Amino acid sequence: MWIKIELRSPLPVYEQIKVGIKEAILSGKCEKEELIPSIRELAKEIKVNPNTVARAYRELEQEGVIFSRQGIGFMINVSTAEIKEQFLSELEKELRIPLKRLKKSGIALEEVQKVVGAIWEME
Amino acid sequence: MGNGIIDYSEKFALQINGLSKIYRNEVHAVKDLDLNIYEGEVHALLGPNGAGKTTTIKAILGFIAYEGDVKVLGEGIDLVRENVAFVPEEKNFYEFLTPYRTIKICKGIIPQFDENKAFEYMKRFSLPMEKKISSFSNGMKTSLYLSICFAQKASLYIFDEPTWGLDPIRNNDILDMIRDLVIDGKTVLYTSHIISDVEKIADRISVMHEGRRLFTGYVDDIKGDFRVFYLPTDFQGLETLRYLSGKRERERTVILTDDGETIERLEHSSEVEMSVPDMEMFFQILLRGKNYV
Repeated sequence: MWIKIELRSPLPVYEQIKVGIKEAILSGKCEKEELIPSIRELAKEIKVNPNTVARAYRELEQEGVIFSRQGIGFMINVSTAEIKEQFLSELEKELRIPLKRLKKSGIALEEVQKVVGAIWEME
Repeated sequence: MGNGIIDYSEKFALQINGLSKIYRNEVHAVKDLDLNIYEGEVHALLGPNGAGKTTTIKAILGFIAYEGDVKVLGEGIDLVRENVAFVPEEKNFYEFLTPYRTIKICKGIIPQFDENKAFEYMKRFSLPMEKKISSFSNGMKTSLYLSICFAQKASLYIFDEPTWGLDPIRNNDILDMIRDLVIDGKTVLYTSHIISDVEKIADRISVMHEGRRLFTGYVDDIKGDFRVFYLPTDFQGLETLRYLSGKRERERTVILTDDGETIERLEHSSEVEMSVPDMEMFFQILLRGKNYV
């Protein structure tokens, strides 16, 4: 499993691991019920502390993205469609406040869409 | 630990309560320090020179007399000394000896010492076996000391400036080896003032300054919870904000905070700029800020 850890990123390392795993599911690199690396394996591979990986796995388990099976390890618990839904609902939550503010200050939806479109093309 | 999720251990490898040290020249090196280190973590002790890091380590190891209570692996140090491996700040050797002789001597006096492992590490670090240590560079001496330390089977590893004098490649090798120790369930306490190293391997950090502990927390929580705000100098209501540290600069005031209410109040304000601190920034504001606001 290939997760890129960027120490300069404003995102904490355990969050980067969580996002990395979710993105792997989203892009179809990992499928439901597939085994993912153990805490130790991933820690060695991406050169982070095992406690940091453990924290990411613990939160992913709480979110229902992975589950642990005694004697086997950690498995993916969600399908691509399910994770997509989760991504979009998180996005909705993140955008709610800024969009509300924009609307309040009289900016039209078309204008916001234009900005989003421009960013989309850039990335 | 099986295949389940590792929980941050509730067990402590190290418990320090009310540690104080006044040297004979009346330097108050450590002031009423409380610090607990979990089993299985890498804990970095940070701070500028003279912060009290080395004195704290000497107290933990029982090398100096001190006030307060220190428990190592749940016991007094003398009962568990065989289970603690240590690399001091000053990497002193019998310089007329060769590394080969030195390791043979270590085998004789250090319990649970794996000499083959020590030779293996020395090879990995390309250290000459039969040259006198007096001809070694600082980096080579550090590498030799680390080879000996890593070859010792222990539960707690304490390193005082473990990467001093090392080139960047060797530096990263050492960080990998320290990480491997915790993967094997060991506990590591180390001091450093190289922030980029700390970011790579520490679970938690404690920042010391002038003998006091200013902060202890998870490296990941610094980015997750802390925010830096740049306020205009005429900002109204500074005294009502809660923050860990702050400093006045010429044209603005900088504060570092993890207080939810303060962050909520400031993050949407148009006269205030916000950023997520990296370790370097966190460290700078924490140390430089405390006296100015």
